[in-house]
Amino acid sequence: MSGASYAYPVPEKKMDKYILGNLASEELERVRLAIRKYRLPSLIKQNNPNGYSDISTDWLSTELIIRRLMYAKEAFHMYKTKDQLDLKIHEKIIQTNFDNPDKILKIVAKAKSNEEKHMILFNLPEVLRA
Amino acid sequence: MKISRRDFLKGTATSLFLAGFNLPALATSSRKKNLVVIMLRGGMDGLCAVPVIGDKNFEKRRKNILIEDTIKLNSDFALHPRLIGFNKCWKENTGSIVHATSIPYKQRSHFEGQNLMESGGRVPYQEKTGWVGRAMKLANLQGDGLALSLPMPLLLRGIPKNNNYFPTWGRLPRKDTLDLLKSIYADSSEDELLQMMDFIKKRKDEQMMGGTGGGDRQKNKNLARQAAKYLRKSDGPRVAVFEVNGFDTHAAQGGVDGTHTECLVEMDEIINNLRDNLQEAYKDTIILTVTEFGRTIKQNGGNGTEHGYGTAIFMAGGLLKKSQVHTDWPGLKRKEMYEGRDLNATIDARSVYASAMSTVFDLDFKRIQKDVFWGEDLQNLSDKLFKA
Repeated sequence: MSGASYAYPVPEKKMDKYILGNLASEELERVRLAIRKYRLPSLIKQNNPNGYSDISTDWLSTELIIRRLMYAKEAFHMYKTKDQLDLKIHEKIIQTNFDNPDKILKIVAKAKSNEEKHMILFNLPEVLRA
Repeated sequence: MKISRRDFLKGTATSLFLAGFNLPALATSSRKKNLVVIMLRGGMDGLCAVPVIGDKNFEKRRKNILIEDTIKLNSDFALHPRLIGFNKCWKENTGSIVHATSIPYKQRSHFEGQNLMESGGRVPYQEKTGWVGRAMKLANLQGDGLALSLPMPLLLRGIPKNNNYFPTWGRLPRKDTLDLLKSIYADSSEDELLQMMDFIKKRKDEQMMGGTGGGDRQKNKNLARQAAKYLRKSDGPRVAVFEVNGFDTHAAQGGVDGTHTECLVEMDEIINNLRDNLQEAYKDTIILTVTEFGRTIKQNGGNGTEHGYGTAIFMAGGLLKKSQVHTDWPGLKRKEMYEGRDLNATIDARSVYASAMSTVFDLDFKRIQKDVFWGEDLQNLSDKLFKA
């Protein structure tokens, strides 16, 4: 989500210092490892040499939704504590990233906690079929 | 005279039967029959799995990787000794092999070959659906497909609302969150996503997540146990698709304990666990394999084999006519081989698949030939290989 207000788990300054080709530190690898843990496509080796399809009707499946839900939950707890506690943070993210923020805001407002909002936001039809 | 609703329905059913409507046909089709496809990625060596007996040309070309202590199936063919599960099927008359067969792909690219083994076509990347998905659409089997892999394989595409099972670590979110997401999908008229949420909610209820043993649960032998539980349910899926990787053994293919053998054993464990866990449903099931191509007859300098052409199909299940090696054997002399190096394919593998689907889906073979395989020249092998 470009322009989102969530601070990435690793500070930008640290990311900028990384030299391509060097072994990444555990801190830099944190997100990649989380994605790998749930075997989310794109960062794991695809069995079929043709790779992964970009078309949602090709890849959308029960297991993928499960992984997106679980990754969203884990990712939420990787953000800075102040972001996790900010009750307005999803409003800011939605206003920044969606063409139809009012509709999305109304949906996400049904969630009871920031963690739940995060999981819902990452699995909205608009996001899945982007 | 006053006629009750029950009497009216009974009377109508009798009238329809006497008028010649096909109630017996409906009774036949209401029997739940299952199809299981195991995709063997990398090019399965049909002659490692089912070697030909007493062919000097073969033995001479495979000195270092010849399989020893094989199990004799008939006067011409033997079985790899580690295929214990399949051997049980063979002994109880529910295991068959089609030998010297292939999909009609004669190049040697995994990229193209694997695309075609799933799409069933002749031109790589032309088709966006799989032969199983298209046949399921023809049989109106929406929501009856189960992939034991991630993501959804091309083979099953062509019909919506398929499910997949490939458990990961951890626990699913709370029920409230799942309910909320489900209501959002319902409000957005997202039928497919809505069905997925139903699958997910059911999985939570059945505590079918990977838990701490997620890695083990992703192993094919364990996936087979779970798939059997689903398949044997009367309202469960009718089609399951597995994937076994690693058959591309260019080096150190090995003999009876080699890397190609390990892949064959993985396939065998799927067959064995399905056989054991399907219980009564095994008799109404066809399990079959598909691969992109076979491997060269001659071993290479690294004790491996290269990409070839002809291979073998393994089949198991109670819907098989009998245990047999069905083949039109082309021979292994140089002039009999494809391009002087590969086992030739004398049977289009798609004839086997179309015949199997005709049996399981209760569809006319010609309809499958026309609507699933574009009217290609396929042979109806239903009577030879499967029970009516």
